[in-house]
Amino acid sequence: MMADTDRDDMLADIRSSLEIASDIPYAIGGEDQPLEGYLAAELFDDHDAMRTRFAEELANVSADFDVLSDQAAAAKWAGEVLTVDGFNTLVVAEEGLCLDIAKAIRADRPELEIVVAGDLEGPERQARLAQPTAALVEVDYALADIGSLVVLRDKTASMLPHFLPESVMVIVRPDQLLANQFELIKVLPQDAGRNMVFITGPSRTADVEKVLILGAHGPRRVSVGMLESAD
Amino acid sequence: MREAVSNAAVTSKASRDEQAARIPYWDLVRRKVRSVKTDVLEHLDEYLVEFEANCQANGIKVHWARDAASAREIVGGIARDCGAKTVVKSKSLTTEEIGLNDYLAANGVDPVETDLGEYIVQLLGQIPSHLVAPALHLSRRDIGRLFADKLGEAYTEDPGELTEIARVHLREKFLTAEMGISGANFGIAGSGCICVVENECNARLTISLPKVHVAVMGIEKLIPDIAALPYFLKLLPVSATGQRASSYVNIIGGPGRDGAGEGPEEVHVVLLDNGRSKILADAQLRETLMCMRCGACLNTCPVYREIGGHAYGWVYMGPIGSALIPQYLGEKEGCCAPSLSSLCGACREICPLEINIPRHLLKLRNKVVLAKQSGLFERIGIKLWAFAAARPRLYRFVTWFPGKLQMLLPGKRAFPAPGYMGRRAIGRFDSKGFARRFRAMERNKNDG
Repeated sequence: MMADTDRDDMLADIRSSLEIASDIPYAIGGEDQPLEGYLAAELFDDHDAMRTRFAEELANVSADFDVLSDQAAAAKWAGEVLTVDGFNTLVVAEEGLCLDIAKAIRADRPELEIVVAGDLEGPERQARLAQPTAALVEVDYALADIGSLVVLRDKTASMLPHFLPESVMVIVRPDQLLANQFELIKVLPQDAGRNMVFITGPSRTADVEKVLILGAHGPRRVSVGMLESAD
Repeated sequence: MREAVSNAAVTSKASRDEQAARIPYWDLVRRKVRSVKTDVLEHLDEYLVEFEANCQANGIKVHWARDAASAREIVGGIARDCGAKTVVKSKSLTTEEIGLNDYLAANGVDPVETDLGEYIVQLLGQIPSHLVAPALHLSRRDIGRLFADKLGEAYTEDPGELTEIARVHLREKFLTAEMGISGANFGIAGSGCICVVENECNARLTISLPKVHVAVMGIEKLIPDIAALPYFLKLLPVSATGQRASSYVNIIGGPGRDGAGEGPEEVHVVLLDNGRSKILADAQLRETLMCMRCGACLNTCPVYREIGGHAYGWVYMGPIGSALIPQYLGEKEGCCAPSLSSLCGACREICPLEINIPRHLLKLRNKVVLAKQSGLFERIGIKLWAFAAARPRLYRFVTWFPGKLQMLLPGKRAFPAPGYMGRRAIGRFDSKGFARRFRAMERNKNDG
């Protein structure tokens, strides 16, 4: 490979080009102050208003939204989604809240198969999750203004349950809901944003005559359940 | 084709306009992003070095490719090293620019496009006809016949069934490919990450299922830090597809197979110059490097709507393509592209970065003429037109007479144009002409 030579040559070319003064007009904007004012005004007065906006935006991107009073309500909700979608397999990433909810569903539906993605080796996990299944997952943040879910990659946890199954149910805790991406960037822990995905509704395409089809390569359905309490 | 392209472009522009109108500070974000991008271009060498250092700290291997051949060789070498037989690709205009698929195929690697539109045009052996919607020019019947012929599927023209066919065929490829190749919408210098924006989830699977991920990125795609990203993400989806947010925004900052047993073991970024530093050397045309490839200028362009993307002859098309083609391919090969514009200014108005495309096209036309790359007939034609245009009576006559002469042809058909009409339909001369129509319109307005 000729990468090293190319590096030095490329940087030399760029530096040589930059010796020519730019002709790009109004390069420096005086827009920061009024723009920050608009962005500050987009923050919500209270959590209910933010949750309402989040629900509206999810509807706009063809995702479902429900408020869940507690873990038992979450199990009932997820069980209903599973029934509607007709799946008998539920994937969770690892031990924790989602596995507890999955077990609660199975108490009423003994035929339900629970797959813990983290318990499977890589190739087996991929093959298993690529089959028609549903998943129950958690996210790290949710963004009210565009109905986005934010997943930070934890190097020890599987992320495939968020993307490979046909139907994905997402549990959001109330304290995870933020106004927008600008607020997210402010609260993100140092370096946490280096591996991150924003998910906004089901996967989609309009490549055939601009007709919108949900479920291009990823989930066909995204259902969001927001717990009323952070506990 | 013309109707399909025009309808799709009009629909896309309407969605974009609706969403942009919902953001009261739209123009402020445009100016902010323009300001950020200007700063990046003015200090590109520094941002590239910072990006490289931070990528390496994150475990990403950074390669520098001065031209297309070098980039192809680098990607081919990575494929060889990891024993790749099949490569899944998410939509990347940059890899189209360097002709990567043909190179990989010639070297025994099967490149499989996974974006539905790209998959369709790949099966057809075509190049995309739109920056964002590659199969915009095809009808559902075309695609149904294609899938029946190439994939052995029962004919259907239902968009949902066609999408499902592609999903099933491509899922198998995702699970077996040894390497994934993507482009990058943004490279984040301050944290050493790349950002890939998409709707289908194919980029996510391309990035996370194979053991090796290679991103090919133009050097101009950098942004300073992650704090700048939300501003760009306000503009890009609205301008590209009329969405407030794209379905998936993937930020990739290194390999990830160590703990969870998934994600790539290796992540490579190929930084591509391929003429960009030459563009940077032009004080005016430097502005074209700000382009985010959103395609908004295509959707609003009256010329693109009429002729479609393939008429531009290369992987970039529409107004921004007209400006990029002669810069990347040279004035000789790209001599026609700057003329594929009416200079109406709609592209500048809609461009999220307010790139003054008409101004650049005028300069590029001038460069083509100075390089003596315009044809003899074109030069004679322009001289004749200039002669007539300076004499209103003569001009009225020469724009009126062909329309009358045309009436004498059998069936009042258009004039024959050998060598042209095989590929494109040619219109009939307007027997009234613009000046007469305009006067009639004004009269009606005054009377009404």
